Amino acid sequence: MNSTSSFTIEAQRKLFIKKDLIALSHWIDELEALDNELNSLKHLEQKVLKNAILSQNITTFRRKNTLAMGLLCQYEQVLRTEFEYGKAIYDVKSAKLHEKKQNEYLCIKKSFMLLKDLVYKLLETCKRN
Amino acid sequence: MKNIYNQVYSHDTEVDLTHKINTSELNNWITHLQYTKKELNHLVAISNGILEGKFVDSFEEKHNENYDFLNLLTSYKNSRDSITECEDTECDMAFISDHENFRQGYTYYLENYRKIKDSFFEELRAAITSKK
Repeated sequence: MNSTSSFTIEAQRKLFIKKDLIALSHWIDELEALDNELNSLKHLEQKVLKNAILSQNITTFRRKNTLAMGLLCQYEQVLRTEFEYGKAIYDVKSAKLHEKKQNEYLCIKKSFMLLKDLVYKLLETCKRN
Repeated sequence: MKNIYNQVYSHDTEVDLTHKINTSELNNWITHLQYTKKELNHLVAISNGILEGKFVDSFEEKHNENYDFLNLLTSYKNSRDSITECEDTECDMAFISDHENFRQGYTYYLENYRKIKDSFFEELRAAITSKK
């Protein structure tokens, strides 16, 4: 009876970590895609908009994004190790850490939305000659 | 979803925590789709101004898909209110499994949207470069 129950606890623990890993993998993919999108925005800024402040904002944002991706990759390693070898129960501490990482990811996404809005507004004023 | 169900408490079980994380994630998907709606309007305006309306049909199609998916997620969000009534693991697992299915749908939607945007930006770059 005891071994069945400890099996269930272990299976559940792994399930919840796996679920966090799936979400995390989606965030990392999103930030990578965002980096590609940034290349297009950078190109448009250089060729059409030629706006020094925007150029600086794009560079600053790219740095922030690269750093955020690195931190998420580190967190992914922590979760993978926990999934493979860990014994710690999945508790409020684990959920809070995941929530904190989610907020960091969302903060980057929000900044990117603001940056994109700025580029779009400037592009909307351009007309094909 | 009620606010009380978004707060994390020290007495929460693993399952409670997972449901709360999923709820928060679902809210983020909805926020992102709401932003996408706004972004599509910008892309249509840029396309009309620079690319003579090329891509507008694709963006409008995406706009409709966005509307449908947003409705679907909103209805799923409302259905999650009944999680608090789950009395066994099977019920909890059904919600967790549903969430993963919605995640796949969301990811699929984003991938397609991204492909259209990539083509659009490529075309925009080409149009601008040829103008110079």
